[in-house]
Amino acid sequence: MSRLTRLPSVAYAVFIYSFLYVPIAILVAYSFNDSKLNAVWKGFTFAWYAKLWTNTSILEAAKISLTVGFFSTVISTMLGTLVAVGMYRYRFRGKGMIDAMLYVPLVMSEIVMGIALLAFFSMIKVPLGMGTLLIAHITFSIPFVVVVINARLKGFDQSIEEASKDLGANEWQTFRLITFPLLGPAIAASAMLAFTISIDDVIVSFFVAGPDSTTLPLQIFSMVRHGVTPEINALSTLMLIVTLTFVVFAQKLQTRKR
Amino acid sequence: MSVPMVELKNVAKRFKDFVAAENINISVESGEFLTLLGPSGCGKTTTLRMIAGFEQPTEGEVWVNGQMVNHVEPYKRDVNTVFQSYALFPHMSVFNNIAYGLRMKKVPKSEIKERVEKILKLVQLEKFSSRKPHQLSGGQKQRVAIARALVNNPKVLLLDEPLGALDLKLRKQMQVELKHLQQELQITFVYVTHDQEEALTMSDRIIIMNDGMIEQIGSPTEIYERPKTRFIADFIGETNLFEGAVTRMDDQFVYVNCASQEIKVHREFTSDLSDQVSIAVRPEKMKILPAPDEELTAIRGILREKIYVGSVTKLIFEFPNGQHVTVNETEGHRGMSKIGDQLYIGWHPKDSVILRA
Repeated sequence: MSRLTRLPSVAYAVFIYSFLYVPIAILVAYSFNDSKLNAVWKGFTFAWYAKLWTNTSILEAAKISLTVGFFSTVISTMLGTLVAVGMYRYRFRGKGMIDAMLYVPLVMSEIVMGIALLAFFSMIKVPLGMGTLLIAHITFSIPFVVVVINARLKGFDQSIEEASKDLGANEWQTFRLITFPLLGPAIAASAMLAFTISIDDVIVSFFVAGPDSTTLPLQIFSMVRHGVTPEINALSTLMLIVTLTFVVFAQKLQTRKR
Repeated sequence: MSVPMVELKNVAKRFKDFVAAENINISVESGEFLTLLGPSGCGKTTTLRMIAGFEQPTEGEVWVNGQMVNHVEPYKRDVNTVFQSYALFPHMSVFNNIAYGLRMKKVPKSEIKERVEKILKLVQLEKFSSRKPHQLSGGQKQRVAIARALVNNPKVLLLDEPLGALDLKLRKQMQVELKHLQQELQITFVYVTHDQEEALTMSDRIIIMNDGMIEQIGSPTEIYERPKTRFIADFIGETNLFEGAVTRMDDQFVYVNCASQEIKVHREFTSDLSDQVSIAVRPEKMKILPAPDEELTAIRGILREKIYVGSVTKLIFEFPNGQHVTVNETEGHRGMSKIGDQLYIGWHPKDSVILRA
């Protein structure tokens, strides 16, 4: 490529990446700003991070987010793995349809899902709280788990399991020694993905959380109504780091050499 | 007579609306190299999988070493399988792949080490025991797959197109190695392939399958020289087929009218005697004659084409009825005929067979 044509394409790339990352960079930068305002830079400080540790409502929300995140991850990973393995191994009538229906929640508008779950819970008269929050998070995490495990199973040679049985291993030994280790990275990756989306979720949680089960994103959301403070910047930065870590690990696990 | 190592009695396998195998009666002797040969979809792999235990027969009985195994799980059968895709465990080293079966059988550690090392030596992979499957070449993976099955001292080794993924040269080399291995270890081999040359090279007996049925069981020579059906004559090697009508027969010969000439075929080489029949003759059994011959069957044809394929030159002749035949040019005749020549093509009646048209 000549220099003349390279210049616009470089400029274009810079523009796109700036668009994506400059706002985030500003947010991170201002979380270290020694000023109550997001407008001017007054110096570097960790004060806002320290202040987070003394804010009981934020700590409480963090605890709820982590608890819900942990349990919804464990449960949705288990359920999703079983679904994916079952879909891979068995053939039955209407499989295509049922398989496709698994992925609908992935593209369905979150607000619709939130309202639907809310209507459902009030119909069966379950009071909103940690329980409903957990169920909702499990619900929207399962499709993600299935997608990740499925991708791994697609490249999985079925005769590997047969070879194991042929060599004297029973069903359980085959699962423990062959299938599980081979699916392991995908299971871990899907768990990390499930945790990330649970920790990040605002909209569905907004509908199904009770007054005593405010998650971290919901807490941030309500704090923002009174203006974006450096404290929120600090909290958002922390969340960003947690999410990024998990996503990077999940990616690494999925692309790891077999 | 001793008990057969593997026996299939009236076995059939049907999937919903599809018959994969029907009327399968096979008896494999101990130490025999038996090949199931046929085009893809003929039911040979399904048959093998029923012996291994991965498929349950819809009908009939499967016996291994004097025991009916219809309801015995694959992991409790005295057979081991070499899979077409090798099916090596990707997360285990070569050593652990091979040791897997022995560990499942709770063989003592020291014995496992000894047996794995011995078999690694046998397949010439001593230096690769700590490698992972993805660090091996196709031929090496193949050897690991064979070693992993053989280390268990199975009564029967089942091989499902084990050489299918290798290139021609390596395949030929492995064919010889496998055959030697089988003779050395005296293990019964049931081998599935669609490669007729492979089957002829390696087997003690061949079973030809087509459309889920057995077409013929016989030694490689019988299969090649006395095919029982048109399908086999066509599938195994090259063959010239002429159609004709049976005109008469005597004690020794059957006479068939073909290309307005009478062709005689030995009666014993006749598997069907309806009015309309096919006669099959291998190209290498035909030769160009200077004149009609008492002993031989001869038909006059016009040389239409010469095809050089390296080891031989193939001559394509046209008979008066428009039928084309292929004749391999013999050493003595090399370069003597040219396109358009009218020549006699002859063969001995014992080199032809009559088949259903």
